[in-house]
Amino acid sequence: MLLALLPLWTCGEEGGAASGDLRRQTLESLGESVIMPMYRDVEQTAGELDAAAKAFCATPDSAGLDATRDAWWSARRPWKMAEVLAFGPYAEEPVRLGPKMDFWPAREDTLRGVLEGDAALTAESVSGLGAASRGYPAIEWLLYADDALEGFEGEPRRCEYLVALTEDLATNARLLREAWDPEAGDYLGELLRAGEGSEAFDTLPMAVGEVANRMAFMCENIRKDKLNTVLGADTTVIQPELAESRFSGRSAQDILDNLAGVEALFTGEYGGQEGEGFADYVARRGMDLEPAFQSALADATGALEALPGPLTEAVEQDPAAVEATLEPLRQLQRVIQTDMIGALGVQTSFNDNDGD
Amino acid sequence: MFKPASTTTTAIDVPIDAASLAAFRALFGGLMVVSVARFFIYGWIEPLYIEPVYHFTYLGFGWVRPWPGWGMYLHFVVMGVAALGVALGAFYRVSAVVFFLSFTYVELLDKTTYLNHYVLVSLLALLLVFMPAHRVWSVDAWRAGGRRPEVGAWTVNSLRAQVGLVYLFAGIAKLNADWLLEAQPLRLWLAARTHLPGVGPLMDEVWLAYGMSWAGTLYDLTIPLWLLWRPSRPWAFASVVVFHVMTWLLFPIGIFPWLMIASATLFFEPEWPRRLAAWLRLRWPSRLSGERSDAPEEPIACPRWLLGGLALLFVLQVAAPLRHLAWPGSVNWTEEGFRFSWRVMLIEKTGMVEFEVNAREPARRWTIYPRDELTALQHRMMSTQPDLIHQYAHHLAAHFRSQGFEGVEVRAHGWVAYNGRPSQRFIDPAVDLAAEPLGFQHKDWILPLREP
Repeated sequence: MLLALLPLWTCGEEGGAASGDLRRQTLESLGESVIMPMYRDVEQTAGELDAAAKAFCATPDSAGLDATRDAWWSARRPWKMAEVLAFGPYAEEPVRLGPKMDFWPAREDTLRGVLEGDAALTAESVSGLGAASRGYPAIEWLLYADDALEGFEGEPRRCEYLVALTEDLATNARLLREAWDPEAGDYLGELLRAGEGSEAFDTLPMAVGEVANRMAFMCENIRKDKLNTVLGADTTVIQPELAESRFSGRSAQDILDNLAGVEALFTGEYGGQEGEGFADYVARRGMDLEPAFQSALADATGALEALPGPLTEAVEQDPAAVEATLEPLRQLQRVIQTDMIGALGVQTSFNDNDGD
Repeated sequence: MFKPASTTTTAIDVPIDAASLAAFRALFGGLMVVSVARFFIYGWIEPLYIEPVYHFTYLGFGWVRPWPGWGMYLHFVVMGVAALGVALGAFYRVSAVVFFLSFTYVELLDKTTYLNHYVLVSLLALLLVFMPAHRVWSVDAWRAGGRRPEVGAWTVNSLRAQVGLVYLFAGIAKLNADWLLEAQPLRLWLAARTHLPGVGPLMDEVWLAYGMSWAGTLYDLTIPLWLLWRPSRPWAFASVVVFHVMTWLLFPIGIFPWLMIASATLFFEPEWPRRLAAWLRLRWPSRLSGERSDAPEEPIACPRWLLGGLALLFVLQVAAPLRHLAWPGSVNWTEEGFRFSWRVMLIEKTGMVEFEVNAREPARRWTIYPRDELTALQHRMMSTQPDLIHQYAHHLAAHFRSQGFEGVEVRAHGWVAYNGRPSQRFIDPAVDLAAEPLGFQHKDWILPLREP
């Protein structure tokens, strides 16, 4: 039996014909149905935010401010969903676009320093600033400031900064989409050609493991950085100033969007488009993780939606309600990190230096 | 051809041709040179030994620490040179001692780098320290102007016993329901290799997993016997090569397959290298081979003290794989008595563990995410191994006590998916692990395996 297999081994991992591994098909489907549509939405909504900001600043008024705020809020949805893909162009040089687009918690002193300075504020000049001075949080800080409309009306530099920021963001959103796009930077191709010429991923399990592990990291990061830190769980001091999107009160919605991104990779469904996700692959391997995943996800989203008001207020008024979100999120991470990753076979208990 | 000088002593002290032992020395040393080189080539020294800020040391070996700075790199250079010395038989005794000590030191640095085949390397290196494996075909023999090409039978027989023990206990360990009735974890592992060209689609076939599970069991349990029996030896060796090359192709298990193929030669007739050389029509000046049949006689018999030491070593090696019987529960689940037991390729676990630390004075609570302190490998290994979780809990308690906190308690929240089963809690979250003494006593805070 074993001898019969040997002659089939005519070449190594590199150079083989595209294999029929269902995990590669799953990645292909995720690329087509989730990843690229998601990044196209990031680009489109960032562009819409830029257009709204420019229209508002042409004639600042209340309706324009509301429209720009709505555009910012809407733009956060695909962006926060895509946060689960925080690798490749998002995190790695030379582009490393993630921090440039979403450095948080926002540093008010830094932002105020830029606003009160006298340097010209254009998209070009903003692109040369540090990450803490640009991106979604900087735009949020301007849009949701106390007496924002009066500020924009009375202080033209605010609008100059806003438009520079939205234009910079739209540019970066385009760069990020292009970096993944098979028609341009083709990082998606790096993922899909894992083990078959990809420079980023030597093997298919590495590529699948990268995406799958990011889903678990996302759950852990939510608990650790987005909730526990704000809750002051390790410091005994509640720290609402460390919350994400604290000016707009979107902190909990950001987390819900993060979870929606995790769910999209699990189910393969995004924006009404159905594809194959990891749940489908695992089901083909005879394991039905859908009930456990959906149950944990429903518990987590239910707990987040039950928060009384914005997270920054909930941690002060009802910390127990915030605390109650942690365990369901941990259970969701457990399903991903143990059951799903185990079924994907991307974290086998031995590796090259781990023989047996 | 060499003829044994005498058969009047015990079977242990029968003189045999030194060629087989010399060949094994060269093969073993050569493989170790490759093994050390791989640490440099793959850049493992930094992440495995220098990067970790915390090390999971073995009980009683907490004093074994990595060298500072470039020390670890220098250490591996010394190890590599020593391995080359063993391979060439140059300054052999010193080389063998240095290799054994330097290799074993590295293995003692961190439990998360534990490998069964590295234990085997340490044991083989230890045995070679006491054997005149440089008597022929070595730089030492060449420098001495030639030596008599004979050694005591105890040398090769000890090495055979060592390798035989590995196969025997590896085979016994496979006699369990998961392996034989469910073909696990091979089903999981093979299914994870469906991306391989050519054979990929086959990897999804259940019959293949069952076939390999049963064949592997029979192989481990019987291969030393087939190798020893002359009529079956050619086929047995062919199966050794095929089996281990297959595992090398299928799984990333480093030099282990090649080490076992090299070890299989120990079961041949002691003069096999000469026969092979004759068959290949290889000739070289006797001066170069370091052989001189008229050289002064050298000790053949195994010193009694060494015989006693070898007996003790093998008794310990029989006891170690059986020690799990002293504790309740499945060893594959609890991992109590798992290491040093040749339980090779038996389990597939994916886990997740976090710690909850509470201090009484001042009253505080922390959630500890081990990823923050441990390397990826350490984190992955610890997340499925109860004794590492226990050890880390003690480390956390010590850390917070050193910060001035009193009444520190550490609890673990851990889940593991084992051989294809749904994940389940495996550490009792109610137990303060910091209050549980480190040691060999039964860990009753490991929750029993629940079958779905």
